[in-house]
Amino acid sequence: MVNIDKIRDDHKVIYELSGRIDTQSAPDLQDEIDDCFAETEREYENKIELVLDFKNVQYMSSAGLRTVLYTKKKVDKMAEGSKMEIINIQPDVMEVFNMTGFTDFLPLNPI
Amino acid sequence: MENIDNVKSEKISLSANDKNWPHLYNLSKTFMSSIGAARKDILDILLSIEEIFVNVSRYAYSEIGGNVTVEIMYIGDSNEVIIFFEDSGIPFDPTSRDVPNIHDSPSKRSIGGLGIYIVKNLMDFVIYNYVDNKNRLKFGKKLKFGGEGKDGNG
Repeated sequence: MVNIDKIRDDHKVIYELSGRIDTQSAPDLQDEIDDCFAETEREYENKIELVLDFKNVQYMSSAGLRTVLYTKKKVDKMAEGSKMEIINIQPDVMEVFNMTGFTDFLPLNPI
Repeated sequence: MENIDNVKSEKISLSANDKNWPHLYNLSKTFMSSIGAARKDILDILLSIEEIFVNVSRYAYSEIGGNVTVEIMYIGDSNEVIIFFEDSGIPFDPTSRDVPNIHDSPSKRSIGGLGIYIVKNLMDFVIYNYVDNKNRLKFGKKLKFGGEGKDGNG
């Protein structure tokens, strides 16, 4: 399972995640992010600076990659200036991002 | 857990349903810890098992569903872990799936095929057979770190 803590400061939203992002938990994360997008559209001119903090994410499968890709595609269609990055990525999770080419199109910052 | 000479194994048959992933995860993690595998090897094995299990859950059966048998085996002499998947679903060879273009832009990308791609990258081998109306997938790797067989201690 994944624990999700959200911090919003105007357009900037930080999600501090912990645990596993796998086939069981990825849908919950996606639901949470969808709620955030809806809120952003309603109250923040559809502009977002999204940060996913992976410091305490120990494991991520392709289900997690799906959620990350989905999120990236959504952010790319939001208001000008919207962006997304993932920070504090553990080495094992970084390996999954590296081998699947996610480093090509997404700011990914290792821990 | 079965233990014959320097071979240990754990076998389970369960419904091929994503909801059973936590149970399979816990069983697999417990087994890997019991053989003294290091964290990196445990993660590689767990990730591979999840990708294959989800593949079977999503594509092997129709809405009626079906079971999948998973066996995890540790061979001490070679310090190797081998995982066997067997199901009675439609014939499907995941190893024959096209390699995804991992350099596509986000707008062109899909996640399809990444699961087996990850498994092929993490494991030393992935072998598929269709025998007696059953899909059989076997994959595994030598443990890079730890493992009971590494220093000869059983």
